[in-house]
Amino acid sequence: MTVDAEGQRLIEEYLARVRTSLADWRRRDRQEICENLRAHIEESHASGFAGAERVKAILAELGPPEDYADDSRRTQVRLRLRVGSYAGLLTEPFVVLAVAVAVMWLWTAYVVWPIAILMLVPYGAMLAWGAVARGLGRGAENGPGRLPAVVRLARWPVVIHVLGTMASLWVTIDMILAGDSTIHIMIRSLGAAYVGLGCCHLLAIWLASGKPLLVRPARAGAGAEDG
Amino acid sequence: MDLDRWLGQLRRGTLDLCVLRVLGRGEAHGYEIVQRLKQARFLTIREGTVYPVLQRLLRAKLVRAHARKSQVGPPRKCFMLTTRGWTSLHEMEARWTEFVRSVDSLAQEGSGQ
Repeated sequence: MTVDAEGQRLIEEYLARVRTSLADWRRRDRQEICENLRAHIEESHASGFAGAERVKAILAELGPPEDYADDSRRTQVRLRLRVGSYAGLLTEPFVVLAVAVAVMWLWTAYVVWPIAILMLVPYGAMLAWGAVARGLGRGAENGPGRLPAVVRLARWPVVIHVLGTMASLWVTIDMILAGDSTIHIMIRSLGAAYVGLGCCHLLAIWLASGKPLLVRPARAGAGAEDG
Repeated sequence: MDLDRWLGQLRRGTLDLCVLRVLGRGEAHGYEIVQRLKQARFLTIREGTVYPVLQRLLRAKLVRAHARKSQVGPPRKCFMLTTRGWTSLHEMEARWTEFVRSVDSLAQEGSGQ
């Protein structure tokens, strides 16, 4: 089947909606479903040229992609939070971050200051959360299922960071409990904080995957979703 | 009572069984499966909803896919039942028969009153 440019655009748009509707399915399954749908569309108009109107008719017979989602496939294994334009306070994560930073620094003025370095970990978490919120909020421009550029670039180095975080934090706690010198604790703390930021970045990548999350908002016109 | 919505729920609930039954008659590619389902009365489904069902059956290893050469165009992905799929189909059909019998028995009890 030969399709004109408008028809091709309609098909790609439809498949993008399918990927969004099946966001909680595995990527490979989504790809296979989209491939099968392409083949179905090809089969629907086996020969000749199909204009935009014919493509629209074929897509109408397929039905809205939003009907594809099956509640039984929604996974609740991992805790995920929907961010972006839905989640109330979390829609302004940078506000939360600013308040958290102020509180943390006020507190650490009274405590051994190296501990303040360890506070970089929650700071990093909120910063990453902010990036995710912004990324998901701009999901349309990124495309369904695509990660925001800010998290996409550092994807694989973050895996190394996560492994380093585990080891570094363990050593830090061990040294504090052993009464080691402040210098050594500081050095280890810096390492832990650095890789901790990487861990938070990984969290951001996962949150930015676009899959349904623990806090489910009520979409306009769709009613409340179950949690 | 929204009968269309209720019928829609019925169709969604039985789509797995219907797809397995279609494949029980022989292997078919996605478009063929949709066309066979459309031939059945009252099974006016949204055609696209068949594909997530097929994928789920694939993952459950009740069906498997292979490429079938086509006389016209590229090879087509065809689906067929696995041994496990046949077993599931028979079990589902037995349960379906019991289910229909149970629902029908309620109607008979009601008419007796």
